Amino acid sequence: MTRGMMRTAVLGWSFTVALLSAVLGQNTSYEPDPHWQAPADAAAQGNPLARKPQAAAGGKKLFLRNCTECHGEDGTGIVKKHAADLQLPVVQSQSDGALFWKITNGNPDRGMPSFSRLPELQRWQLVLHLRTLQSAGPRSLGETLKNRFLTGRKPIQFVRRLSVERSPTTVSRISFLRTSRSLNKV
Amino acid sequence: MRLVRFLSFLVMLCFLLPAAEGEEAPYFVTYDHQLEEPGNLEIATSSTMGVPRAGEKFYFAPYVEFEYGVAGRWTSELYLEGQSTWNDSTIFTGWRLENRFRPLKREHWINPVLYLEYENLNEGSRIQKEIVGNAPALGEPNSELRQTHAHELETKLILSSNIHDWNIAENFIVEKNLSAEEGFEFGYALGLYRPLATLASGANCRFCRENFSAGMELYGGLGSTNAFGFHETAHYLAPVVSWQISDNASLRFSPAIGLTHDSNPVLLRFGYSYEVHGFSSKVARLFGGKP
Repeated sequence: MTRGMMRTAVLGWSFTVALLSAVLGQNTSYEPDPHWQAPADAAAQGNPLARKPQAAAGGKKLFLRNCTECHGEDGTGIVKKHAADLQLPVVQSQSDGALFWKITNGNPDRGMPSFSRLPELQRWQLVLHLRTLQSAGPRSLGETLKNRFLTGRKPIQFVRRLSVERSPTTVSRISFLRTSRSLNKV
Repeated sequence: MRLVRFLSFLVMLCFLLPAAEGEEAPYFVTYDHQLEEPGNLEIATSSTMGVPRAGEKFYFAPYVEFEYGVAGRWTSELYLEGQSTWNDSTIFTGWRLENRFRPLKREHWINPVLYLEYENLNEGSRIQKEIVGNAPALGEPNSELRQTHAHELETKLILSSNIHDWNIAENFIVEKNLSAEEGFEFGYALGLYRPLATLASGANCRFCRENFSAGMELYGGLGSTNAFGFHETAHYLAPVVSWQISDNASLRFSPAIGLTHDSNPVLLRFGYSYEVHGFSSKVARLFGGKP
């Protein structure tokens, strides 16, 4: 076994992987997958930790470790990762059982890995923590934009996204246009 | 002296890194259905130490593994391996390129994974990442073993289930040496493990039970198409334990006990793995591309 052969193996593998990564890269804009729905029996499951809200602290720890890379620390999602904003009503309106099912199964074709390797109770702890993201309350547009700048999102892209996803009362069309114009100048 | 320094470095590393939950499978030989997350790279260094029978020599076989999540249901790995025999020499024994595919999208009662590996090795290979066919002869010197090369193709059917926090995995192995007329060789690996605690504490603790997983592996060869069965095959029963020492790093240990005369009496396995999250984005950024 020569050094040349070893170098060929390393270079060959790196090249193949780099090429495939470019081809199979994730999308840049998030749209919920209509086919990713929990079965009715799974969605009807209750959270066994519902009466132990103190378990959410463990859920937060798990969230920071496993989820923030794509969903961000506050769960609002990182656009370049094609990740869902977990504070949105479209997520928060789902039952505990449905969220548990989605964490367990993942959606590999859309970049969401399966977390079935975590023990069941830890997945329920994650669901508990997701619920605390909802209760964080509405934030001001300025504050949210500041967070976005820090997480690397393009401001104009985020403002457009906000205008689509938030209700019209949260971000008015006027403020949207003004903000877009000023940000585009920057 | 080097070993002491290396161990001190590992211990220091354990205390410098932030604590985390236990979730890395402790297996050395058995595969479960968990694949690498897309875009992540895991770098692992492991070793197999063979405690010999009388008349045989002690050997140490380290290997490095680069595991990359190519897509949600596809993981690719590259292995580089070597071997050092007491009172003999240290040699590079070859490389392996492995791919695992998950045909099914969702979690099921039994989750199948298809495994395909190409191996370019010489006869000095001792990492025993899988046991197939008949037991290898351990008496020959490295200078002779390194002369014999083997191009092998290996396939596995991996079946794995998560049942009440237990993982149970079964691997069925078929290997074909493309360089010699040895027929098809067969092997198996069975494993089960469980985290020591299933509820995560809110505290950022390092030695909590939730950071440890423990279980058992059973693996061995089943002969070949020329001589199928247990005759002259090696089989091992191996307790396994893993410790997730940080968000990215874990340690594994397994003392495997040989069950037949053709097995090593004991195989000691150690492993350290480090996960690079978002590796593909980091590489893209390095070359000025879009992450």
